[in-house]
Amino acid sequence: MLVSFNWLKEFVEIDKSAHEIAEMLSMSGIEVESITHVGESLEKVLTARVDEILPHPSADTLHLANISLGDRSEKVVCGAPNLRVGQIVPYAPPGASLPSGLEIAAREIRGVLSPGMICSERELGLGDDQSGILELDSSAVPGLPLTTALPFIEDYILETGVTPNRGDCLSILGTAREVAALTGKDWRLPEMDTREVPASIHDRMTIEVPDVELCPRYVARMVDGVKIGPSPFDVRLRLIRAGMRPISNVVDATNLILLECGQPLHAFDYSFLEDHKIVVRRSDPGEIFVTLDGAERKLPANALMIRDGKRAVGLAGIMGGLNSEISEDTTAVLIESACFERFGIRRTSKALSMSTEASFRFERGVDPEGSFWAAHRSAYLIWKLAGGDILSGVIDVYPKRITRPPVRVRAKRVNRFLGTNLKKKEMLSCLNRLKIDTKDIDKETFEATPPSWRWDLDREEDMIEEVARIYGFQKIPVSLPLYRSAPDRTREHHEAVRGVAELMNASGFTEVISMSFVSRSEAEEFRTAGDATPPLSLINPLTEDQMVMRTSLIPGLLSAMKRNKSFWLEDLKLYEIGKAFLVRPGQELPREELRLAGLATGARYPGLWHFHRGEIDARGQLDAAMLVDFFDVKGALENVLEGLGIGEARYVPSSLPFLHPGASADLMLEDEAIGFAGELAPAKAREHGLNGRVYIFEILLEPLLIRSRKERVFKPLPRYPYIERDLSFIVEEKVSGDVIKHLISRLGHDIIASVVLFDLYRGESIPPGHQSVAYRIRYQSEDRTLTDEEAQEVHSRIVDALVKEVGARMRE
Amino acid sequence: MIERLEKLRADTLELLTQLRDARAMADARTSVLGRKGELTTILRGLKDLSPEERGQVGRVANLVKAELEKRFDEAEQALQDAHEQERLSVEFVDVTLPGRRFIPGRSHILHRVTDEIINIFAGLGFQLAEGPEVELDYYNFEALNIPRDHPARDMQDTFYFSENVVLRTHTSPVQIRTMEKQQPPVRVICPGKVYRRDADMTHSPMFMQVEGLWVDEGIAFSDLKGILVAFVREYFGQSVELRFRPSFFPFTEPSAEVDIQCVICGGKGCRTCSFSGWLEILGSGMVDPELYRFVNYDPEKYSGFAFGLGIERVAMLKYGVPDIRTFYENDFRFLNQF
Repeated sequence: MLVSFNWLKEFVEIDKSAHEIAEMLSMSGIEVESITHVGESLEKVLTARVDEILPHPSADTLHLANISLGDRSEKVVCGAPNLRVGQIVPYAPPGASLPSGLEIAAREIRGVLSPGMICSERELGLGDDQSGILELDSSAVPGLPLTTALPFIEDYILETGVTPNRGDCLSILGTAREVAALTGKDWRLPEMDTREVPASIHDRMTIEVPDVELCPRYVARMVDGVKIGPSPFDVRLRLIRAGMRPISNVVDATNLILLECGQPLHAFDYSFLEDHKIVVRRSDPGEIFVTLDGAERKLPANALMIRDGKRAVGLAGIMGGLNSEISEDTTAVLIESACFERFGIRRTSKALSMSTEASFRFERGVDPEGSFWAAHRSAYLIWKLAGGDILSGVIDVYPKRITRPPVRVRAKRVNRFLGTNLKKKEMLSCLNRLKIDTKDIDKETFEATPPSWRWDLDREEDMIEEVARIYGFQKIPVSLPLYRSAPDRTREHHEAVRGVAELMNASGFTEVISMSFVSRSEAEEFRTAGDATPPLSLINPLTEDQMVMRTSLIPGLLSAMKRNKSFWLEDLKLYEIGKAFLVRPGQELPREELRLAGLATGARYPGLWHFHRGEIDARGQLDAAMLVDFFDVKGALENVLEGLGIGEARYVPSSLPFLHPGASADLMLEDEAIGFAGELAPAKAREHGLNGRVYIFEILLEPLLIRSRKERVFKPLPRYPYIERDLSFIVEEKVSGDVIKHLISRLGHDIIASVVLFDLYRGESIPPGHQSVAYRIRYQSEDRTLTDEEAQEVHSRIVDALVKEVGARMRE
Repeated sequence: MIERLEKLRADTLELLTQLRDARAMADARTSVLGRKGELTTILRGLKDLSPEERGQVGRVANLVKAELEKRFDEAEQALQDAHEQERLSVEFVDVTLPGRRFIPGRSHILHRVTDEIINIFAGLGFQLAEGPEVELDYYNFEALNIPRDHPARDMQDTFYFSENVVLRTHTSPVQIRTMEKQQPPVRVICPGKVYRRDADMTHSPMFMQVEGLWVDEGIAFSDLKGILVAFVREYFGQSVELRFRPSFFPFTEPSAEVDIQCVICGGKGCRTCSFSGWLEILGSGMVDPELYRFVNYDPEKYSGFAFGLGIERVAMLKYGVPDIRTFYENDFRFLNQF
């Protein structure tokens, strides 16, 4: 809320600066988000009286105004249509500067030198009106600085952020009450010298409230014979500075009171109220109502309506109706000052997506006692601003008085809860300053009764908070809690996951974090087999691109890649660890699967001079470009698995539709597919507008983490020398490395220590569909020194088997 | 025979002045001093001499042998020194060129900040708890004392899947789930992704939080202050001042916003702190006893505090990042800065 410091001072005596008050409010729970100094640049602008108006010699639309400044006079050019003799106007002489930044100087206008100008509201930064010059109160003395003549124009505007529990602070009065409590001063209500006529409202209106639980109190007053017109300058300025638009004197009066004491009011044109009757009752099924903004609204069930004898005339607590709005011709005004039930208003305003100054305050609770005062205040202000007669009497439908039950507070508990050592007397003083009544029960206990405007104080803790707030959070001591120590393994899982991240880092991959929501098409794109449920959709997404929860991390990686490519970064290795969300039929919450996904594209060793001449690629060719391939992503996965101590993983060719069928694998762990790795299918790459090959993988993390908890056991180091033999042969490409390795191990009994593929070649001099491969086998025994003959015997058996079983052609 | 020895000596010394490579040097040594070398051959003739002559010639021969061996050693050493000198003068690497390395990747800065925070709180006695990101309205709101028609729901703009299922707007539901499972003492921090329907320079629809909860007998507001002072000083520096401002959260009472002295200007006032000298960094408060009703704790016996902070906010302050969205754009030029 925008709080005028000048206005605040009308409600509470203040002997501190606006900044000091703002600081005090912020430190006690009403956060002042900004302080704006307004009107301060106008001290060089002077009041002036228009003494004479002469025609401009060369322009029909302009005039020359002789203006008096008390001790001297000036002749200025003015084009305003509302220029009149006798007016008091703001005059900006040469040397003055206006809030727009305009520096005033003597200037020739159509051949006549004008020493400065007469200003409009807008030129002075005091409003939106630029239709003419600003007319000041005719009793003002000419020749004074504007800031002296109209002291209220210089002001500080405090923007307060009021929390939802403190609806009572959504007004000048409410803010003043806080200031009073904090400074130890007292707050006061403005005086009203109301004069009523004998005619009574009771003869003109009847009011019925059948739905009393949605409207605990309904107060009405009437003013007859008003004359609708614009409000005076000071009223308009007050509204503008509070962020509201001036409309007409009657409406402005109601808005002024809304700001002043937080009570939303509604002014009806009495002549439109059929049968001169108000009935407060909820909406009928399917009812339609046109609010005063002209919108036709279908009312939700149980929306509380204000009706006259025949029809609805207002959407209670939210907005009035078009059919009974105050117009230029209005003469009799019925003012509604009601206390509507908070949650009812919120339900309706939410259902209609309408939030107004009124509904905002009703939702947060208005003061039921304040409703009565505000009704009188409104009659008074309308009478002051628009004239007419205040009818005597008030209609007050308030069948069941709202009371605030006393709260029992134990002084010991207050101190125990806060860690303080306050005396009971100090606690009572804090509460009393907030107008919370206290009554001693015994030495230790007291009862605290909140004032009518505080909805939020019905428990001991609430009172403890009020004590703490007024005492000052800053003064509460600082201590550290004691606890009984115990071993803690709760971080184990988190640390294991971060361990996986470290392994990926070590493989040269950089971690990204993508949004958990994706577009519908992205969610469908990278689903693996056996996952056929539709993705989890948001009812209220921010954008189409973020409509459903991701079912895979791959779309996020692709987006990250595309973004980086758009900045000419072509060599990328990235990964993400995060959740995919999969709907579980029949269950409210989805399955959240922790996954690891990676992507690699471009050069393997970006920009390093050492690797410039090339190395052997997946086909055994010397590859000078050294672009990443399948084995880069597989290598990263191997690092992860090895880091977690998992040995039994297998890679089998994959048939996932979004992968290249010749360069992709499913990762199997004990016959369970836990993920995939491979080249993005060319068609997919094209769809995404990618040139160049992209390799991706995605695996489930939980199955790995569960298995990684296995203990490792020491194996004695080899004590006897080894013998190495190389095997070099040509074999069909489709004979997999796994088959060869298994064959070798099978025949090696227990004397093979390792089998390493050290060369692979396809191409020239090798028949098509074949490849040349070379393995180095290390023979070693755990319990003796092997002889050449022993090793040779096994080696020969392996050679025979390779020839017979997989059709290998041995090379010399 | 003496003459032959003298000649051999003279010839060999002459030869040594001419030899320039190690191989020739070794060959020359063999041909003079080796088993079939000239000196050996001469000595073999000793047996034909008379004993007197044998003694005399033998002495000379030994002297010559000793001298030549010494000269060969010296010459070899000199040659080796010369070679090494030459190698050292020719070989040269430009030590200013980049080293050969396999460039590792790096963890996302937000994860590293999260881990730092977790570690600090672990040191203060907190355990870790995690929970689902898609959450029941009950855990995200109801059990946190935010009923359906309460205006407090406006404080967090929520993503909905259905009337009952939301994207969690904070990690507080993990606190409820934790308390449901165990009686006090409870000391947990709950890190994780949370979601609010908001996007601008300081709001991302997905962001990360760490929340903490400590419930036990006799826990007071002063303990909350102590823990947060300890955390902030550990993370931002021992001299950083804090202030606690009353605020409102439906699940705490009293509630406090925590400001720290601006880490950019040291409290003097700058753009980052809107010239106030203070930066809002944490929300906190004493657990509202209403929550205990949902998890069957005795509010007369137990009390506790809770707090929450945005990881991005912390990282933005620590590293001077102006726009929260940068963290999720995954731009390598950004990621590689940290």
